[in-house]
Amino acid sequence: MQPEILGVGRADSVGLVGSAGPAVSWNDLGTQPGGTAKTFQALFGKEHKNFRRLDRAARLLSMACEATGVSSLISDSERQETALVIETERGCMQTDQVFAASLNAGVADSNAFPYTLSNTCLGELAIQYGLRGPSLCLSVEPQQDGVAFTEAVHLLEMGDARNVVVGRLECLDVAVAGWQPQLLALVAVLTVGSGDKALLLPSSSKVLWPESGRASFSWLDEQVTRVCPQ
Amino acid sequence: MSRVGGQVYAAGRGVVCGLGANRHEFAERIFAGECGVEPRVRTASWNVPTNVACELPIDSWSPGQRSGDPLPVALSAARQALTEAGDPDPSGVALVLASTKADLGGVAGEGDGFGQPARLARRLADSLGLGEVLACVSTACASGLMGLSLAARRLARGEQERVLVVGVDLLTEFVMAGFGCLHALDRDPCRPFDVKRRGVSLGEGAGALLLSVHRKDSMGVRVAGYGASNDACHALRPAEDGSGLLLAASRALRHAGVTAHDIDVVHVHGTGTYANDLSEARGLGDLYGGLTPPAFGSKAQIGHTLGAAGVIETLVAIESLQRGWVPENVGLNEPGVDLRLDLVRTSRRLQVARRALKVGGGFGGVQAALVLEA
Repeated sequence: MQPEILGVGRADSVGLVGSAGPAVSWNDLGTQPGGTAKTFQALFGKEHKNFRRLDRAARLLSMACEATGVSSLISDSERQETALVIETERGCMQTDQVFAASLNAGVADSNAFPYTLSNTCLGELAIQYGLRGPSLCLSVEPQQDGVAFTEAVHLLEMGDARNVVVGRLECLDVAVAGWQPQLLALVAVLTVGSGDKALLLPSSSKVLWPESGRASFSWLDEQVTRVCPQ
Repeated sequence: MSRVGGQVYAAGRGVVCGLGANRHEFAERIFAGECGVEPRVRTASWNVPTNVACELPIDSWSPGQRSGDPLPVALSAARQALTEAGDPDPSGVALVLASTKADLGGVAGEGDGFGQPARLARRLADSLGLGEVLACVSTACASGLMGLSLAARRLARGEQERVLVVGVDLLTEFVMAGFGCLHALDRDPCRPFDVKRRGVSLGEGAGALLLSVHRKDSMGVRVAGYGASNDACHALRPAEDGSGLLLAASRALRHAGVTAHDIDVVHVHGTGTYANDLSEARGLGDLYGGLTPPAFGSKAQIGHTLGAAGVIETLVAIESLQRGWVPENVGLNEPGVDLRLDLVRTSRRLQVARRALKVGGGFGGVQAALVLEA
């Protein structure tokens, strides 16, 4: 089974693009990568009531999902069976350091601690969109690319989910040990291939599942660049 | 929802935690109602708001090993599981690691794990000569159950023949202080579901379960179904009405092709926090619409082992099926939750011991469930 790709999006150190969203740079918006609650409201015309509490990784992911069009691509009735699958190499290293610094300073940071778990940002997405399918966060090695796609397809094929919001999330401002800095939230919405949903997309913005049958995030990154106005 | 395709058998078990360094000792102490949550020793110098934890003894690490390195602990549990399964060729065994923070060395203290489960998984797979690392699940305290589900899915699809699922998390000041700053720790041994419950007691260790598609490997129990959901209501607290757990359990039952009334025993998550226990009892009560089968938890005995909990506690559920026995809920004097949850107060024999339901949840709203069948 080849899933259909309903939408794609990317938030990185430069800006935000998506098949349903504006193409903007953080610089033009006068904000740091990931933005603020005000940025979110200005870009998407709606309030995100929890945005202020999110760490940068969760903000990047939330922005990328909104630019992908998650809120319009998945109907209310389908949200009960929509899964979230994210892979990450760097995990929560940035927030880990924030929390560790707070411990060293003698006052544990209760705002930071929840985001030292890499799936907390999935919980925030589930709240944002009311998604009640399985949520799965996968830690990957540097050479791995696309483990989350594999699991997402399995969830669809086994009937464990009707749609999957699948993504890669990296959030590290400065190099740590062998890890290079990277800010990236790369997202796609997958569904079981009934054919009707993808027809709604204009042909210029269609992303077809790779002929090899195996999707990776480097491939998805190319597709975002191809179909999203820069 | 589809059913699990091919059969997925439990083939070998291993555990290392504060209540035992092998599964025999662990099981005997669990079913004897012993409590491993005791005044802190190894972690005594840490500035955290609790007097207790279920710690591994300091000699869990040999001279020359870094104290607090999870690798030796995970290795021990994994080797036990492989041994019970008759030591299959490790090159034909894939690894699924489940952990919240794996090895925090480099972030806090010595080492270079940097809290990345994939890094620990590579060390573990290389040490055991395993064929590949299939996945590293880091889905908070449901990591273990989600890891078992992922492995069962891969096996049922015929992609693997044997998958070793290892759940591991060790106590760190980082994590204990984190729970502390959220006011989630009980100062004294936790009392899940009790009217006087005040929070979690933390534990540490590793659990391992080898799953196989080969009936000849089976130790008499199979993974019949799995399910998961998200509460989608709060980043840290479960849905008050237990609807997320209800959804996950319903999905697991549907996967297994059975109804709630086909379950003979329930192994609960039972953290000891006010919100979790309230939610869990309601969700399970609603699943049955009346009194549940006998239900018990293990966190009052071994502490909350976080990413390892799903695997370690699944081993307890398997043991309950095999013994036909339910241990008491340690620390429970007066239930302070939905009374439809039949919390066992005195250990008792099961009338029928065919199927167990194991449930668990975690931060980020994640809920997961497994159906085990003897």
